[in-house]
Amino acid sequence: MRATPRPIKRLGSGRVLAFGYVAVGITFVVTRLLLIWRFPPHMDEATFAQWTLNGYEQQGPALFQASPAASSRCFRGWASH
Amino acid sequence: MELGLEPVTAVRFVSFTASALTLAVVATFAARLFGDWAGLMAGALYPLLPFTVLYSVLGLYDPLATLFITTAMALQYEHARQPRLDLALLLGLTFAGGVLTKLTAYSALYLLPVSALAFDWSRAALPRRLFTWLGGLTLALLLAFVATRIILLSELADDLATARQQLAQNTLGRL
Repeated sequence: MRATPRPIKRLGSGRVLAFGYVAVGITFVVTRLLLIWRFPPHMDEATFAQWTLNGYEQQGPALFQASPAASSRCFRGWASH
Repeated sequence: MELGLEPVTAVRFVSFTASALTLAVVATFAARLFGDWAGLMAGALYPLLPFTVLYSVLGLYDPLATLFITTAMALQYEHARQPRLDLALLLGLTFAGGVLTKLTAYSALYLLPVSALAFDWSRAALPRRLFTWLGGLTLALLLAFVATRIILLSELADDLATARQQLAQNTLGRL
């Protein structure tokens, strides 16, 4: 007596798509988070980081004040190097 | 910075977020054009491209500019297919964000004539649709122009060339 073959369960295309999109998202996030602390600083981004730090330390209107004085403050910490 | 990140890392997270949003836009736009599987393929290829591997973890302007350009391209297509005021306003805000980010984002504006290929040129209610489409594009360009005027709020705007030279000298002098 032959056993009745069990029906093969197939994932619906919607589920495969959803799984694929989630996998792509996870791949992107994991690979970038692994790399984000490993790349050496680029010259330009070092400049942007300095401006970010100065902006963070000078909270308030001074952050958006584009005057010569504010411009020179962007490089305040660099003079000592 | 508030989370305790170093300045370079904080800047890099801006690029990371912009790249993640670009991935979503690329996959959505490909799915809109060629179907869900094409969207998945486009999304799967995006994280593997060496260009995006590098630029999504460096704190440069480029990932943000790329986000604005790809979003503008998708919105231009949608607005040409179905001219609507909300799409035109979103397109204008995207243009504004792009032109304030980097000069290369102006390429999003140069793509405008290409969106004519997506416009339905059949005769049914053509004048009304054409008016809505071109009116929306005019509004979007106007928003982009207003965004570029923000620079006039600065005290340095009167002598921008000198200000740029001073900024470059300060930057290069300290490196």
